Amino acid sequence: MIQGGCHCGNISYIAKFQNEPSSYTPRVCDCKLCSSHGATYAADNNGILSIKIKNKNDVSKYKQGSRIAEFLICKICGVMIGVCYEENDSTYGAINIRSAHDYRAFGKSHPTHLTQLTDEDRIKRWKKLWFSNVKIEYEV
Amino acid sequence: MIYKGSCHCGAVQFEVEAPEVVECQDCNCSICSKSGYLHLIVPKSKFKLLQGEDNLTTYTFDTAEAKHKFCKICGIKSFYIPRSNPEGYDINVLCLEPQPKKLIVEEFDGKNWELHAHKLSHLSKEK
Repeated sequence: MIQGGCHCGNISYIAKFQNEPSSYTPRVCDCKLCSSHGATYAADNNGILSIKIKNKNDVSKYKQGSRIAEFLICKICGVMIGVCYEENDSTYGAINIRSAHDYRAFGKSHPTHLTQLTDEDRIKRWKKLWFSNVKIEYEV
Repeated sequence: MIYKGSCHCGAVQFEVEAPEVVECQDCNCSICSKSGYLHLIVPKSKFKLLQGEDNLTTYTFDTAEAKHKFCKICGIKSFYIPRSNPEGYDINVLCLEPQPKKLIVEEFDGKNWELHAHKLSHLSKEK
């Protein structure tokens, strides 16, 4: 189980991975947004990601590129905790392990180059790799 | 040389003068670990904000000496005013265009800031 969140505490999460975090290979995306946030992603398709948000007005769901996924960024402290994709009633997501309390628990990260993928291939990839069980709760 | 810099959405734009070979710090403190940031600290005169002042939010914590500024729209912290050098600016190397020809990254133990901050304090001195 991995706990994490933004710096100010507005967004927190618990990510349940099926296996030891050290057995996962987090992905470093080389697009400009992810590079600028220094973001590195991890997820488990069979795990559970529970996100709690104190105040939804203080969370930005930023879209870029193909504009089909939403990056969750705290408007108070600027930390990006991860990314979600919604389709019908399902939400898929991955955490930015930099926002985890102990990001060193994960295995060695690996670069990915996804900017050439079509939207269709991108979505297929997310559905296969990201948490397929994502719950987001809002206090306010 | 002059580097251009910006956040992701382009609202915040700046210029900074720095060498072709850039020495920067990778800090392990609580906010830097979460933000993803490579620190290039420069004297005030080397930095020029071209646009986006109104798009910046300032986050402070603990002693509130560091002014962590990030874009309200895309969340990118492209520069800020650091606690170690309040007279200078601290630029995020990850936001520079072009990227430096060579980057020398030093680890900085920001978790024990009080013990190590003096090693950085000269970086904002005007020459």
